[in-house]
Amino acid sequence: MLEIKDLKAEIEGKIILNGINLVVKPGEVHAVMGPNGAGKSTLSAVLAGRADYTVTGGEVSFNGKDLLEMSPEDRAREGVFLAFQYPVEIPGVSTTNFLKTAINEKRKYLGLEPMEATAFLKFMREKMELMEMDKALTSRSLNEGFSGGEKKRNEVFQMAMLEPKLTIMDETDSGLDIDALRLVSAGVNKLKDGERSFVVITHYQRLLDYIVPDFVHVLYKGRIVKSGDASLAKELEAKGYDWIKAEVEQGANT
Amino acid sequence: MAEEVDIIDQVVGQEYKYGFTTNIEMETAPKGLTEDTIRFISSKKTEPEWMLEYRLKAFRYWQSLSSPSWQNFSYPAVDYQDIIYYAAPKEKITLDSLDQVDPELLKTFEKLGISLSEQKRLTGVAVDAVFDSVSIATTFKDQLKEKGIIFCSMSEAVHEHPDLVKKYLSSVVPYTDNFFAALNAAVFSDGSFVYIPKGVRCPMELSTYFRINAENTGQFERTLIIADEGSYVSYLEGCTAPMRDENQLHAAVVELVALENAEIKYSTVQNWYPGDKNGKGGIYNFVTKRGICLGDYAKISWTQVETGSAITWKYPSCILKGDHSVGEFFSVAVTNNMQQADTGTKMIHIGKNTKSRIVSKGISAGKSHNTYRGLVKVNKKADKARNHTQCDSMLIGDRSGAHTFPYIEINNKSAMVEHEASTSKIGEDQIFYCNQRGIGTEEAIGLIVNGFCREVLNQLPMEFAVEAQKLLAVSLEGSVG
Amino acid sequence: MAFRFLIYNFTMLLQTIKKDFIQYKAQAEPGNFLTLREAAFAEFEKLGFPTTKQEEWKYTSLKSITDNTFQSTCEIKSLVNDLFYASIESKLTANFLVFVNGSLVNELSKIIEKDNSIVISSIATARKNNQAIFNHHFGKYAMVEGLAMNALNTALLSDGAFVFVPKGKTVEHPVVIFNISDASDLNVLAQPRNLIVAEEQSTLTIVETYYATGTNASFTNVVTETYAGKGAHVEHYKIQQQAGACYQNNFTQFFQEADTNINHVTLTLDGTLVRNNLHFYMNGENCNSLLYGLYVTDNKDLVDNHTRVDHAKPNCFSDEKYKGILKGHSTAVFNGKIMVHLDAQKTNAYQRNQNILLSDDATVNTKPQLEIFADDVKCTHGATVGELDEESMFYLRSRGIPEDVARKLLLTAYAVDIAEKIKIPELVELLEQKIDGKL
Repeated sequence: MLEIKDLKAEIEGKIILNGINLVVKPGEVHAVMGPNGAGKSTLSAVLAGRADYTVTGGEVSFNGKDLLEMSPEDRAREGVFLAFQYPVEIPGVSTTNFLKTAINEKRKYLGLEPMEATAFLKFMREKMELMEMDKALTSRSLNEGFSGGEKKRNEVFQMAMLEPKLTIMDETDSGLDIDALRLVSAGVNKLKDGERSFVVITHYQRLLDYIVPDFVHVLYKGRIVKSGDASLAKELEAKGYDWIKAEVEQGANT
Repeated sequence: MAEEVDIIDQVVGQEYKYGFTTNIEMETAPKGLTEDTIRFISSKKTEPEWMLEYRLKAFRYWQSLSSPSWQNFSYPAVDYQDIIYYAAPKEKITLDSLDQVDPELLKTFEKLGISLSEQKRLTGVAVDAVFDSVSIATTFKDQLKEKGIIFCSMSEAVHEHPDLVKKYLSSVVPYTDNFFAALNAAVFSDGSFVYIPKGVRCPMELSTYFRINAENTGQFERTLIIADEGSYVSYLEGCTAPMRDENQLHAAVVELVALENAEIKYSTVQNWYPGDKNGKGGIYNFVTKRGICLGDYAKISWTQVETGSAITWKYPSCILKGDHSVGEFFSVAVTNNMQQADTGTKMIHIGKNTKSRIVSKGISAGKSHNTYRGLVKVNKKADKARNHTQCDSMLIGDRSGAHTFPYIEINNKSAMVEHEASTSKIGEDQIFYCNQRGIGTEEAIGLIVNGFCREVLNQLPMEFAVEAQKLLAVSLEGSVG
Repeated sequence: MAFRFLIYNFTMLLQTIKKDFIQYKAQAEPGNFLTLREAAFAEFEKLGFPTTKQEEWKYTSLKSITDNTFQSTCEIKSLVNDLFYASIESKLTANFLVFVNGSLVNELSKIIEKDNSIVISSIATARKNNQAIFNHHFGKYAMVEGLAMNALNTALLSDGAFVFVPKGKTVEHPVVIFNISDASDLNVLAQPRNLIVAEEQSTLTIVETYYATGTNASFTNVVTETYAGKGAHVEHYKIQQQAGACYQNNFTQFFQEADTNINHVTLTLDGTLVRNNLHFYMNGENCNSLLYGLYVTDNKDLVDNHTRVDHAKPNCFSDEKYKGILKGHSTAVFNGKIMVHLDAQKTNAYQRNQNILLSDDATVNTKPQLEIFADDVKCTHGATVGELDEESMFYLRSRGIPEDVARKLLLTAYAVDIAEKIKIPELVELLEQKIDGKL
């Protein structure tokens, strides 16, 4: 589904990603972990197409298409969903109206007729039930005045509505208390269908107790320096990142 | 970033789509303004003597004035002798039969989205169409008549309802009010007249479409709406004009009178030709609009969506004379390219327990300037007056300007007056967030702008709210950058 | 049109002023300073006194001043000493420059600052001893073009304070510029002029204070220019307590280089007609400008605060809050303008004007304005006019506090919020007592 080959990127001349290689197959859950400043958020931003970053090398293909060539909206329409670390507030625009626009833009791109208002509302109701969303949230302005937990739940709700093929979760756990974390994770788990893939970016292991990854990768200095299964995350939790750093430095010396 | 700028340029660069002209044989007054011009207009309309006298008085007063210079923008001086003050389609028009209207004219209105001939089958909106200087057709007259509602052209009202016209014309906006009000009183050609009798709730939206067509003409229409005790009316006006290289003058006067317990809701979607990208051509929209809540518990509510005109200069105002009367002003003004808008309202609190609310949303793009200028005045006897003003500006691109000039004059200690204002921009992070959900940059801007204006758009009658939303998106096409 | 203009300005005061200027010119030494003042006088003659026909003076008429005669005089009496020693400012450990009707009083002035490189003197002395610095800065920030009252001050200034703080220096004690209008014999006119130069990375506190004595009228027309070099920090407080028939127009201009911090407070506690013009110009990035004001008015007094903050460079911050309490037949005018220039991106500007009316005959005219020419800015402004918050009143009363006590409690809290922006605790304490007394 997603194939990243030797991806390099920089911002304002500073190299952040320095040769990332990663293959995500349908239905897989990959966790990308790493210390602060390792390049985790940059990876998600580059995949979603944020203009601040310059890709200086490498390739990213998504279902056989060159992802890096596409505009951010086309990536989304192809099925890449980024759950933002800091979801943006848009005053005066309700979540309902926002999602209706997004879904119909995607349908237009795929050559489908726009969804009618009644069909859309029915669809939204179903997803709201599934995600246990509070009805009041969808009629309020998008993310405006939402608590941190509400914003993150709204991200997962949007994911359910837009039905992406690949979801990139950028530190979705940051700023969440344990109850909110459980709710958000439960939502994500409901969306797992064996086809849909997830890249979960996080600093801490605790999210991975709820969203159990198939693979865990450690990002350090812009590269994936270690990969393993879910047990790697536990090991990182217990031992911290210093031993990985030491390993990398040692490797560089020999 | 560079890419985004391009998109924004494209968005803002869209052409004005109502810029066509209609080829209809016209009868016009000779260019220029003298007493003879006024006599010509008056005789064309076979007006009674009192009307001519009124016009001449206004004209003499106007001659003693010089054109105002206090506004927050500059514009080339208007040559008042180079304007045609009267232009009317030559074809004889019978007002109660649409079939006799020149087909060219009907086609024009259809292009504008106002299908007069189909009006008969539609319900909900009664339309009075003003083409250059003359009211062309008024629909649903008979149905309205049953309820005692008068909805006709001003010229007709002068003949058929002289008592009402004599009593209320000029009672809210006297010709001595300002330069353009004096000019309008002298030369006004036509306009709409509405009277809602006691206790009647007008069953449909009343609507007037204004169209400037002929070259070198000015449009000076005059609207008078009287809502008698306990009545209600919602009224909407729309405006368009062809694309021409020279500036054309639109100097209208609107007067609203709300008696005890009456409510008037007046909505405007103004889309006069704004001129081209470099500021050539476009309408000068210098309009005086004012309403008075004469009786207790009366309410007047102005809603406006202003996207057109090279220069807009208007302050729909409310005089809150009756106790417990309410004034409202909801405004969206969008300026792009070289447009200049100076708009706002005046809320004059005279009665006790009067309330007013102002919500103004200004959006400036390109090299345009958008000014809010408002006055809230609480007179000495206006106990417990309340006002809340909210005034938000949004700038798109870094070559536009937003200006806020609120005047607050309070002479009563029990007043509670609040003014709040803010300025914001469309954030790159907001656009990217929309992009990431599959929404393109253009749609994203439309979405964000409509969200910004929602409080005002919500005030418009449903059919027009949709129209206004589209208009906002179109006006801003090519503006991001 | 021209005819009307002439008649209006053919006033008593104008005649006096012309005579004064001719007299001054006859004695003055030729040179740059005279040329500057001649140009200023020409500008004043061209403009005449401001009238209510001008937008900036719409709500404030100077007719009561211009229809009167005022004399410039410098005779000093002993009652001035009593007034000085009775004042709250004189209790401070500070440097004092005392002026009566615009002339320096040596006996009352004292400089306690030890560092000799710091100059605290009169303008007259500075013109002799610090000529280069004086000439470099004088008249560079408070413009005379189009500003009649500035032109008048520049042409006919009497004396005033000169403060110079060299690079990196800190003035340990506040500098109190103490002004007294003595109108015991006749109507007096004073035109003090202050120049404050705080060089790079220097720190300084100024207290500008105004008193009056005597039964005749006084008119004070003062200009204060402050230059803040890169990274300088200036605290500037203006306290106005001119009781009696006192008229004042003042113009205070701050010119800020990059990274400067300025905290300004104006307290207007008395005066028949007070017009404060306060201007900030940010000429570099990362400036902070704080403007706070409190006016307590009574009788037929008029207090007019006109402020203008020019965000000319990116990344600057300004915060403005003016509060008023109005009693009697008094009038308050507030006109705040925030001007965000082209390319002054990332500007943060806040402005608020709040007014409480305690009388049916008081009037507030407020006009908070924003003019914005850059798109990436955060600006908010607001104005409120009203009575004391009924909710708070009710809350206090329901706790058993009687209405009049509750009212006073709330008003004091409302006013003290501004006084506490002054960073000299002893002064704040004394001022709070004063404010309390006025309420």
